Formats: sequence, structure tokens, C-alpha cells
Amino acid sequence: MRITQFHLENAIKAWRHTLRLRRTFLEDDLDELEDHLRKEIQKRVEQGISEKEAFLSSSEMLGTQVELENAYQPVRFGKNKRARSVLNETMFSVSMLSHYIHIALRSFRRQFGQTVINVVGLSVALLACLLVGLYVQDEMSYDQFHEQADQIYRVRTGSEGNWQGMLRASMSETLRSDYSDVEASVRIFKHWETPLVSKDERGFYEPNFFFADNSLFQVFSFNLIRGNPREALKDPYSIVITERTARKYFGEQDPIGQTIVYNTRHELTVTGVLADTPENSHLHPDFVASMSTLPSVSYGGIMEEWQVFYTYVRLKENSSINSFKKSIEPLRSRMAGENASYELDFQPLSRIHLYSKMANELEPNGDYRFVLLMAVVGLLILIIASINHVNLATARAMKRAREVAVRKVSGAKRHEIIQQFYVEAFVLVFSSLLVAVVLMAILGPFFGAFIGKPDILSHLSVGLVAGGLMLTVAMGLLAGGYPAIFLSRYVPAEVLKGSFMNSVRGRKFRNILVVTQFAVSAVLIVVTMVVFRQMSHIQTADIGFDAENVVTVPVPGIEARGQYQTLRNALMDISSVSNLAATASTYPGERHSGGHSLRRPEQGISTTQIVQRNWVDAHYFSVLGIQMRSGKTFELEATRNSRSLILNEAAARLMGWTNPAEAIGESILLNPDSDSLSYSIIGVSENYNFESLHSEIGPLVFTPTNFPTVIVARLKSGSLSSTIAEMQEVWNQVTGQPFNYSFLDEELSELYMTDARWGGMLRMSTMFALFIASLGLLGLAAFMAESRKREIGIRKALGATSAGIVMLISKDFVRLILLAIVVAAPLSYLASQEWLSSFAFQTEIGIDVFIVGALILLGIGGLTVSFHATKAALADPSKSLRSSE
Amino acid sequence: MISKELVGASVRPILLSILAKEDSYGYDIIQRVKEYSFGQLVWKDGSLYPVLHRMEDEGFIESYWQKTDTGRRRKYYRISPGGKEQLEQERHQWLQVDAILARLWGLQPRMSASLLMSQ
Repeated sequence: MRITQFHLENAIKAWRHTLRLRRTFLEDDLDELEDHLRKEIQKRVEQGISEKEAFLSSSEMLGTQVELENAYQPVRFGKNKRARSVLNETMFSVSMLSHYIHIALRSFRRQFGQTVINVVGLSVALLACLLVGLYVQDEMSYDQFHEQADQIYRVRTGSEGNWQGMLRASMSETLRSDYSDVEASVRIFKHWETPLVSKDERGFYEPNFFFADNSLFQVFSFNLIRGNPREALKDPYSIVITERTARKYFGEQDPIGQTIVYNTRHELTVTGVLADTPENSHLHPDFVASMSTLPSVSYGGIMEEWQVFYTYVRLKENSSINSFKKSIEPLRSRMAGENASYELDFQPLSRIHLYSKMANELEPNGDYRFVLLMAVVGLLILIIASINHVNLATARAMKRAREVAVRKVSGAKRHEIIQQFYVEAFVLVFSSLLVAVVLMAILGPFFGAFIGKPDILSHLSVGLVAGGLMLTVAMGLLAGGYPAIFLSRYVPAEVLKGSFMNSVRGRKFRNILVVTQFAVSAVLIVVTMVVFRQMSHIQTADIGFDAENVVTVPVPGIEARGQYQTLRNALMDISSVSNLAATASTYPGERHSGGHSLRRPEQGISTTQIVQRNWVDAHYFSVLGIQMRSGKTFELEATRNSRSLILNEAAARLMGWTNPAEAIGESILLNPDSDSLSYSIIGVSENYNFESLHSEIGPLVFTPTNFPTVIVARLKSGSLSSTIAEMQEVWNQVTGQPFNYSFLDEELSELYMTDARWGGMLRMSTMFALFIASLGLLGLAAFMAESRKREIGIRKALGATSAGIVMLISKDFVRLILLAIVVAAPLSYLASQEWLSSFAFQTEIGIDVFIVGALILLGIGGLTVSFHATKAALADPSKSLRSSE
Repeated sequence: MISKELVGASVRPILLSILAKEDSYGYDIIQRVKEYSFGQLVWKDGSLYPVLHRMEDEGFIESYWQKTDTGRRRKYYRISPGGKEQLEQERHQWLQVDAILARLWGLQPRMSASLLMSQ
């Protein structure tokens, strides 16, 4: 210690300052006490005592800090409440806080390495949480931008697990005119074939082409920038396009009044321009043509016969959905007939994205279970990071114990020690938040691109910011709480006498936390591996047909379709095209035409079954490699008017033929409400996955066509690109239309894009979790090695080998990790099982997943620990023993 | 030495009596207490002030600040009308106790006390 000259004024100033820190005293009290002290000192100095002695004895005379406080407290409290001004209070809090922060920063400097570990861990965890928060918020905000979104419903029929979202054209009008609760209703139709839209010489296949009633803008608040919302979609051949589309077709020209051509034949006039639809919408139209256009550009009877219209209603502002549902009951029972479980249901608009899982959704939806899972994973990551803080803080407790003891002896109250540790935790957490926010600003766009929502950062809402802050505060409380309570409990006498030991309980508690961290990480590792295994299972699963080397080419316009035979012959002349088929609706992986009904002639109306349908030619089955279970495929010369029909196995079973052969030669009615002539069943095909593997194989019926909207070609493997070039040349010669192709296997993998993204997010989360848990372990191992430095030194001096020392330190940790693996195994099995249950076709969860997971964990854990263990083991004992602590 | 309890009980009449003579400040009050009690009454100096503050809260004394010759401010206390009344009551009670104990111990109670007793 430096010896300094005693300075009376400074001594009094310091004395007064320590008293001021005790909130019991007012400034007046301090003035009065100081006056007293000075008088006393003056008297003693006059008696010939040194200033220093006089100061010490006088302040002793006046009473210690604690004695003074104890004497003042009973008097002061009542009065203080009156006397304390807000300013006074604030000043006090600020001075206390700055004191705490000062101490916190000092302790961080002393523990630099561990503080870095803490901040990195917490920042990464907060970053993960913020990103998850962005994602969750975005998923939950779908379709909320419509005014009165909570009064908008989508109508569906059927029953739980078998909902049908496409209805007859008449349904919308029935609901609007017969029920006073309905303010407006609209039908939306999207063709299952992608139309070719052209302007002058340029044409594009436009997947987001919709038809809708004029009431579209009465139900939804899509923003019509140009045009009259009451009339834009009234007349046939009028169309509304988005801004982006307008730029694409018309550049800078005014699009209103201009025309575009639909499928090479029909001129449509632009009557309005829509603002681009927000990302968080369950439908993203680029074009909306008036519904009155549909009969003239599609199959004529579509409005009368087919169940293909999505129907939305907006209820009146003060109507309740429940009373509306009651009033609709007679309609439901009329529609249900003898089918007791048949329901007429209204899906809230805001629930479509996360909760709806119908066969024919307009766009792939999210899943509330995954959103929930991500939220949980985010919290888990946060907990892992908080555990790091708790572990490091309690492990350091021995070192801090003396500090706490000295504070207590100098009069610190327990709650003040607790405050001190909380402030430390909050300083740590908020600096981590700052780092996390900066990282989010940098990484946000990449994350957005990764999950397919590029401008996700712009969706940042006040709610999310508030949520993030709350989470941070919660984390501060969580991470600061245990050390605060644990460390403030010390009895100073014990600590200072040296009889205090790091308690066994504390170590046990730390061990439990480490096991928790690694168990959580282990569960995430296993689940992630199962997810990826399922993804590859899907990619390699036997889907009942061969999608490799198959290209699909849409055929636009009636002229080109009518030339199919010529086109086919010309394309088949290309030596590397091995076979080629026509389909007039769709092919696997694309939306099929839904809502068709089948009935056996001898049975009653109630046996009508809803099936999906495809129109194909004789070659379709052989091109795709679909086997026939019984019977044969269509005749080569079969046309749209032929009365022959093929079922898939599921459809045959649905209609009551368990053995496919029984169905052959039987007759059956297709869409019996509008078509009383029966079809003859000529074949039953094998079940193949024409939809994603999430769903079971549904019933499907094929009728013949020689008028394709798409051709499906099998190419010989090898020079695919030169084959495509040759095909394009032939195509242009024959049709004069743009050539557009895609590979079937690529299209199929798009069905699992959401799954792939989810898998990616999960993998990222797992890496986050593992990283943070390892950081914590690193810190803990460093601490262990540090605090056992002398022990290790002595062991080495007595002849222990370095390898033995490494073993010694690693052993404990390895045991913890093994325990974590044991805990995690059943949990991860259950979690994986739960996730797999959303697939109709599942991979096996093998034991190998668990073994690999355990090895990863052990490997990372072992590597982390052995780093410090080795460092400690290699240290020169003469140094570690000499150093003074 | 006088016990802690008795010190506690007597501190208020002592302070009121001192202030009844003339206004004073904390350090000076303590010096006087020491003087009058021949060192029999010992307090921690600091514990005087809370008592003064409480009495001020109760309305028996009042305080005011005055500048000293060194330029610092000093807090003076003076007795209030309520304090004078209180002092009168306290005196009455102390003399009663004094009389009772004197009679029990066969001592001659003081004149003032016998006067009080006969009332």
C-alpha cells in the first residue's frame, strides 16, 4: 500500500461521501453531522492531538456508518418519504447505478476471457432469438393487412381431415343473397394449367393468374392504385394487374386501356393496377381477370358443373360467426344429404396460412407447429446462454466471495449485493443485445433470403422490439438472479476467516445446468439429423413413377394443341426423345383438377365421392413408368369424347372394389349431376404419389384426351441440354409459340421447399445451441483448470504424466456429457417421432442417429474441454506452484 | 453509569430543559449534557441527532440554520410553546417518581415534590 500524507479535508470529504451513499441521510443531516465532526476535531486539535488522530477518534465518537444509520433509520423513514423529492431520488439512484456499473466494468476487466465468452454466447443467443422472432412475427402476420381481417372467412366443405376448399360457382351468390350476415362474398379461381400471357411478340407463362368476381375489393383490401374498385372486374375480358406486372409488360407506358393476350387467343383489357401484394399474404395474384371472362376462355360448363371456386365471405361488422353458422344450418343439412359428418365450415382468413392443410391450397402454407417449435428452440437457445452466465458466475463465486464479504463488513445490505449482481448481469445482457442488434442488421437480409422472405427486416414491428427488450430483461433476471442470491448469501466472517469452501451444492447445481445444456443440444442434433434423413428419404422414396429425365412443356393456345399429332411425330423424330405423352390437365407434383365426383350407377346419390381428375393420352402411363394394376390404358385414338376411364387403386377402393380386377369393365358415372352418361372402366393404375409425400395417395380418375395442355417427354439420359435445344427448334417450327420447359424431378423437389427451409432453420438453430453450450463448457473448463493449477502442479511435480492430467480434468466433463446423452435420447426420439408424424411416408428413426448424435456431442465437448485440460497439463509446475494467489 | 433504558427515558426532558434556557446546536447540547451529568450520561454523539429530529417532528422543538464565523451553516434548535408544555408534564412526572422513591427509601423528598404531592 502507498503511504500518503493525511489530509483532513479529504478525509472529511470521503467520510461524508460514504455516508451519502447510504440513502438514510439527507443533505441537511450530513451538514449537521459534519459540523459536529469539525467542532469535535477542532477541540481535540486544540488539545494538541494530531489531525489524523483527532479525525479518527472524533468520527469514532460520532459513531460508525452502521451505528449512525441504525440510529437515524427509525426516525428518518417516515420523514424521508415526505422530504424525498423526485430529483433527490433520481440523483441517488443514478449515483448508485453509476457506482454499480463502475464495479461491474471493473469485474469484467478482471475476468476478461470469461466476459468475452459470456457476451459472445449471449449475443449469439439473442441474435438467434431476434431472427426467430422476426420469423414468428412474419408467419403470424399473414393476411392481417386486410381491413376487418377478422370478419373475412374462407368457405370449405367436408369434414375434419378431409376439407375441400373448392366449391361450386353458385355457393358464393347463395351465401350473399340469402344471409343477412354476409356483407360481401367473392369467388376466386386459379387454373391448374399455367396460362401463356403475351403482349406483341413477347409472352410469359404466368403462374399467378387468377379469376375473381367484381366483389374482390369489397371483401379484401388489396390496394387498387388505378381503376375503379367497383367496376374494374365487372365486364368480361377485363383484367387487373399488379404494378410489377405492368412494368414487365408495358414498361413506363400507362397500362390502363391496353390489352394483353390470354393463351394466344383472348384479348383482355387492363382496367386497373394493383399495388404489389405483401409477402405475408396467402395469395399473390399478378393478374386478376374478371370472373365473367372465365366461361369464354376455359371449359364452357365450368360455372355450372365444377367445384373449383375458392369462396370468401366478409361478414357484417357486428355479425358474429357463431350466429351466422347457426343460420346456415338448413343449407348445410341440405348439402350434406345423408352424409352426417358433412360440414359447411368457415375458416378465419388469419388462420389460413398457419392452420389450413387442404389438398388444394393456393400456395404452400406454413404450419403453426413449426412456428411454435422455432419459438421454443429460440427460448432454449436463450436458456442455454443464460446457463452459461449462471455457471460462470457461480464457478467464480470463490473469487468474488471475498469481495462480497468485504462489502458486507463495510455495511452493505444483502439487497444491495443482490442489486450489484443484477446490475452486472444487465450490463452484460444489454451490451450483448447491442451486439445482437448490429449483427441482425448485417445478417438479417441473408436470413431473409434463406427462409424465402427477402424483405423480412422491414417487417420489424414495435411489438417485436418491445418483445426483444422484454426477453432481454427476462434473460437479465434469469442470468443475474441465481448468482445474485447465491453470492449475497455468504456469511462474511466465514469467508474472511478462510473456512468458506465452494459448496458441493453449488457444484451439483452447476453440473445439472451443464447436463441440461447438453441434453438440449443433443435433442436438437438428433432431431435435425432425423429431419435431414426424412428429406433424403423423400428424395429417394419410391414414388411409384420415374421422374428422372422427364421434361414437361406447356402447350399454349388451341392452335398448338390441335396440332398435337404433328408435334408429337416431329418431336419423336429426335433420337434422344424416347417417349412422349399428352396430358390435358396436369402431371405429378402440380395441382390436379379437384372436385370431381364419382358414383356407381346402381347406387344412390349419397355414395357420390369427390376425386381428383386428370386427362391423359395412351402414352402417359408408360412415359412416367406408372404400372397398371389391372386392365389396360387408353386406346391410341381415344379422344375427349371417348367414354372410357381409368382409376387409380385408391379410387377403385373408394368405389368399393378391393381387388382392382373386379372394377374392369364396370360402368361408372363421372360428375353425375351434370353428365348422366356412364363411363366404362378399362384400367386400374398403381397408386403413385401425384401429390407431396405429406399426404396419403388420394383417389384419382383419368379420362382420355388428344388435346394436351402439357406434353410430358422422357429423354434418353446423357446430353439433356442438346436434346432440349433440338426440341425447342422443332417446337418453334411447328407451333410458333414460346418454348417453356422444366424438369419433372426439379419441380417435385419444390414441393419440399418448405421442408428444406425448415430443416435449414433447424440446423442453424442446432449449430447456434451447440456453439453456445460449447462456449460455456470452454469457460467452465478454463475455470477448473485455473482453480486446480496448484493441484496439477503438485501432481506433476510428483510424477503425474500430462496425459493423466488431461484425463483427470476431462473425466468429470465427459461424465456430464454422457449423462446429457442419456437424458436426451428418449426426448429426442419423441420429438423426432412427432415431427415425422406430419408425413404420410416416414423414414425409420434408426439407432445410428442417436449414436452419431452422441459422438458429435462427445467430440465437440471433449475437444472443448481438452483444450484447457491440455494447456493446464503442459504448464510448468515450477511456475504454477511459485505464483502467488 | 446510568443504564441505557434510563438514558433513553430521560433524554427528552434533558434536551427540553437545556433548550428552555437558550437556543443551541447539537455539539453544544452534548457538551452541556456532559457538563451537567458529570460524565454520568454517555451517548454516542451521533445518536443525539435522530432524537432531536424526532422531537422536531413531534412539534416540541423547532430548528433554524445560521451562518457560523467560518462561513459554514449550523443548525440551531429552540423550544416551541408545545415543548414548554411537554417539559412541564415531564417535570411533574419525574418529581412524582422522585417522591415515591424517596419515601420508599426513607429520604426527605425535595420541597418542590412535596408541594406537588399535596396538590
